[in-house]
Amino acid sequence: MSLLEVRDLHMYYTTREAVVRAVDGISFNLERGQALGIVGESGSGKTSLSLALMRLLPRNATGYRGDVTLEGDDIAALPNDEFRREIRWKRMSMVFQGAMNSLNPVLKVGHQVSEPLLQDNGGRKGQARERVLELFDLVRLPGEVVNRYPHELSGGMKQRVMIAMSLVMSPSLVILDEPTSALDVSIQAQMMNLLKDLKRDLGISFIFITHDIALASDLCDRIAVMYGGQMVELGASEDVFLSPRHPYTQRLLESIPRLDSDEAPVFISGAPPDLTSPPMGCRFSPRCPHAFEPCDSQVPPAFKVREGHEARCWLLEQGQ
Amino acid sequence: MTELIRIEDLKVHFQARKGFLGSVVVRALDGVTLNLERGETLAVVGESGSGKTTLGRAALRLLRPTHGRIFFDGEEIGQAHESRLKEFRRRAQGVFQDPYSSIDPFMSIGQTIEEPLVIHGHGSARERTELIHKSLEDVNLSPAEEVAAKYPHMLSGGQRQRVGIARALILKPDFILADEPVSMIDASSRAEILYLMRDLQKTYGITFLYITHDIATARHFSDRIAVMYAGRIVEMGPSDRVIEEPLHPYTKALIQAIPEPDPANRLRQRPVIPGEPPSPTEPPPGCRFNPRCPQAIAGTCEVTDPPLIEVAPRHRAACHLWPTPQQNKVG
Repeated sequence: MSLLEVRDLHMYYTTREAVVRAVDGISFNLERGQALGIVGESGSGKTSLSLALMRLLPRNATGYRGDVTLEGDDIAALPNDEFRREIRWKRMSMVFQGAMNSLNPVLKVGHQVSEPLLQDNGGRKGQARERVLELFDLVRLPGEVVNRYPHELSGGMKQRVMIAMSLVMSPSLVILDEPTSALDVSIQAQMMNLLKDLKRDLGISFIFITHDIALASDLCDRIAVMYGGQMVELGASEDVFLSPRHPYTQRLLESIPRLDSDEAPVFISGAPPDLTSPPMGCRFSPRCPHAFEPCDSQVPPAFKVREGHEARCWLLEQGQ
Repeated sequence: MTELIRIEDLKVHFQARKGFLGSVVVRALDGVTLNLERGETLAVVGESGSGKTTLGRAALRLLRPTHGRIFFDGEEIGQAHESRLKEFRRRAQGVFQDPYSSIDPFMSIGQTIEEPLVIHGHGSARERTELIHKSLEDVNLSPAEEVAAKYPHMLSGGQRQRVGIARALILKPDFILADEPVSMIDASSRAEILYLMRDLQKTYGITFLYITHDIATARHFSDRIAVMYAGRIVEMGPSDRVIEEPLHPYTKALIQAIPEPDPANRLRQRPVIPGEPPSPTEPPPGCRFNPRCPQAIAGTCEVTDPPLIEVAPRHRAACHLWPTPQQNKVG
């Protein structure tokens, strides 16, 4: 049994003029103890997908549907109230993008981390404090930091506090939305090492959302590439990085300026699709160098490349 | 090549309030010397707080340095009075990080690009329109007439940044400061903007100061790289030399911190430097990197501030591992 199974998940937004198809039929599995990287550029729907999973639906969200199974439980069917009490934060938590700047400036960080414990029935202050110290040790923050205020901490320390906060109720799945994008590269590297340790030592499963596909290779066992609200390629890291099959994934990898080679980076001309009126067929077809007859009229299904590796591209129909 | 810009011992210190009455000195830039040859791109790479943006702002004289001199085409502009900078203000232009906030949303693209011409009293209305169209074509925004009539919200981030470049180009500058010009652009479109700047450089012989936190783009899009740490340049040299044979332990650490897209990465710990950059109000004595340096020499590095010296041809480093130019490579 997979830890998380997602089938045909949708979430749209309504604006005054149109409907934005931000999450448009997403399916994937996540195994226990593994990390799945969800990689995409701005507007690809990666953050909307995480909000849909956490069922934190913005007020203008519409058309939320699909099956989500967590550890065998059909959590998409739960009423909102039960989802809030039993699932969110307890079994599945999230570190939001830029959240380290939303720490309450007038409360000590230790208190902020312990809040869910105190809210929960039977939470005692002494026990809560002990748990917070344990978590700070886990994320390699000195214990005395519990008595500090957010402004006394550096960006890297605040992000460690956010990670401690996501772990407080011992969830089996943590969603990380761009957890390092506000940090300098040397601090980012420290953070990635910490996440690797947490994954190995605690067996936590991660969904790691990032715009930086190279960074995803630092943690993730599997990679899902999103484009225009859909998953265009999904596979083991080895498959996606070493033999990518979707032209978008291929170009995305080639667009990384490499430090270890002189090879000049490429770029994808044009802009991502407008999700209020996406292209009829493959959403990448207007920018795709290989586009041919069916691409601009028919939506490509997910073609299986090999076990656990699939891509939505008509080139794969006859295994070309 | 001849020199266009020379910066000598530049310092920019700010007063910051501390507590109710006290104040502290923030040493954003603390003794930077460098030069730019005509037609080259020098990348200044550093993390937040390294002083790279302050250096760029000083180079455009958007702030007056606390100490030191800046020569632009032989003329001192670092301390010069604003009234003497009119010609410099035409010849030196800037392209900035955020293409969403650096363009006025209530002005059409044409008006945005025209503004510098109006300020500098350039040409008749018809001549200006022609220049605007030329400038838009230069940055591959066509058809120029249509684009000129649009408003910023109708353009993508990459297109807006090209508008920013067109605006910088219109006065035919000799020098462009590009401060993180692609950090808010999608990864797959970044190279497009950087290639465009390189083409413009070839066509018009523009000198670029490219400020970035991303040493990988610096490798591919600059002739030389200067690495900054805590208000100082710690290493400077030809781009491929700095990347392939970094001399300063900080540069090495910076390079190692960046993941290449390799599925084996997840199976190993990345070598990291401990700690975080020092406070610019109280930099450590000696070499500013010594508390984090894996190769620090006790008794030397925390005592003496190493000067930036030439270690290999055109390749300089400020590090006690390189005591004299003649000595061979250490560690």
